[in-house]
Amino acid sequence: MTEKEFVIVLRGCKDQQRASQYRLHGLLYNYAMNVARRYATNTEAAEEVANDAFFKLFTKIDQFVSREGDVQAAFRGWFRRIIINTAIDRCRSSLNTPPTDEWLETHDVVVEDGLLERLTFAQVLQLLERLPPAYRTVFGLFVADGYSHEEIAELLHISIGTSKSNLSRARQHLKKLLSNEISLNQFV
Amino acid sequence: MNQFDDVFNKKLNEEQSFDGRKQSWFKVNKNLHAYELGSGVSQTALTLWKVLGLVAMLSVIALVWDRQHIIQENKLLKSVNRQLETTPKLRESASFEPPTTQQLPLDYAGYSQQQVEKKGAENQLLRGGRYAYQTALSAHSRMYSVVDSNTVSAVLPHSIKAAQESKEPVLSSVQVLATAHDSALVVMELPLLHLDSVVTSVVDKLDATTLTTIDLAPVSVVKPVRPVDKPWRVGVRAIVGFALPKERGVSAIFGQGMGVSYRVIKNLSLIAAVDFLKFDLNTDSIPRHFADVAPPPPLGPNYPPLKNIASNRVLNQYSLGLSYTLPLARQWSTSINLSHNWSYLPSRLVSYRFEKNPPHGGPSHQEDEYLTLPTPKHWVSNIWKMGIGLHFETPAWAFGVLGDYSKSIKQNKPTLEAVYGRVEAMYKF
Repeated sequence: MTEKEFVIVLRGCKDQQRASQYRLHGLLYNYAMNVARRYATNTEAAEEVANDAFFKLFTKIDQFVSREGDVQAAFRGWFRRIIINTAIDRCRSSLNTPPTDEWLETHDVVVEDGLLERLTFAQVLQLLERLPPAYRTVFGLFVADGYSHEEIAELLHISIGTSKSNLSRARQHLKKLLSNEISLNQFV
Repeated sequence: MNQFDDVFNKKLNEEQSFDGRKQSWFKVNKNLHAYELGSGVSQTALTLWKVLGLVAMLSVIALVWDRQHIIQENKLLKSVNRQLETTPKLRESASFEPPTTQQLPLDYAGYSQQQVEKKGAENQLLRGGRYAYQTALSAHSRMYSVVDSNTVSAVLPHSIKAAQESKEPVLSSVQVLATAHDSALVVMELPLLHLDSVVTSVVDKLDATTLTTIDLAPVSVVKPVRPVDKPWRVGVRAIVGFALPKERGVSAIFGQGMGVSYRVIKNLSLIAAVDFLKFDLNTDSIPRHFADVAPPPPLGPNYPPLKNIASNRVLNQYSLGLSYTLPLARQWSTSINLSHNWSYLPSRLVSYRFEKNPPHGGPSHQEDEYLTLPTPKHWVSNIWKMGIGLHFETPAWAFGVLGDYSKSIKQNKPTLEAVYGRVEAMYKF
């Protein structure tokens, strides 16, 4: 979709035109699911997050102010924040639940060279799904969405130290999961 | 970010294809529909409350303004009254008879004897003196009194005339007119431009007929109570309208505007206004009287049938016309208005929905087809508005409730025919 077409669709969405909303939904559905999937425990939960995020998008689209430059990129960034906030709101209660002892035990695991590059998107999601919500969310925010620890702490209402700790544990557990899967020949 | 994070970042940001897009849209559409149904009424109510709130706020501002104006005037009047009360002789001489004969000094302040001896000059001064005396009596209770000061000024010395001509907003002089009695009139004259008034007091025991001029320190000028001509009016208005005849799918028309008027002659005013109006179309066929939305282009014989046309329309109206005012009792008046309107319809998107029917009846699970097209922007002229209004006027403000019927003429088809009601607040100057 060209920039001009995108601006027309946005204008239609601001006028609550259903046809424009339909087009924008089609344009951003995969993107929304992609982002939501990082924070949701499964596909069904991700779909609910995406649907809620689209509803918020269409009802609050007047708040988006397009500036000079790449409107599509700016709009995607704005929509991504909506999706992330929606996902976090849905699992906020579980974010404050401390992981069980099993998850608190961490140790260094060495991941085989080249293994990471061979991972598919689905396999990465499978790994993330197995992390406790508190670790998964911090990992997703920091690694995939580029949030700083200060921003994560503010968003999740936790301390910066907790954010750093959760990220570190998330990495360790992902490595551990990777090594376990290798041993079970799941990924190779 | 280390290599581990980089790999995850790259993998997680690869855009994938997900199933379930149609189901997702179905749910989002359903939620949006429910939201709009719920919010449509509340938004309309909110708009009405906003309009009412705005009107109430403007009314309060107008009343406060007016009250402050009266307070300021009262303060000034009190101070003037106090000044007058410091002249006790005025009260004591309430029964004083106005002078019956007057003589001017033979040679005073540049007046030649010949001038003074003119028959008419005596009469003029006499009239001026009587008038001034009467004014003095009324000035005790009321500062504002209008006299024909030209008759007095006819005998004023050049210095006072010069002061008059300068038209400075100050009390310029005091003139003492002696009489045949033991009292005299003191005439304090204000510049003609501002007051045209003479305030007098009586001074006892002036011997002979004389004319004296005393300079006074400048004091504030009090505005006259007579109505000031304010031909201009400018103000704001809130508008609500309905398509006439009522058409299904055309919502109420809401908007606001600004207006200005200039009274050309006594009751006839030239009016100009600009109104910004909005309304929604949500219908299954093209409305007849608001037909600026074109039908969709032919999409082929097998295309699903058109089921809905939706659009948010914007209408800017620029009007120029005449208003004739008929005064009613007290501060109320009514008006008859006629104006020509130029309407501008900017480009807006129109959404057409085509519903897919199941092949053998039954509930449809197929997705509807949507088509969005922008309308061209265009002007519509030859729209005339006729209406009446009821107005309430204060010295500085005019409030009105008006109704207009809008009709297009010389158009190929009926265009933007509607009835409008509006409330307005206009400032007079």
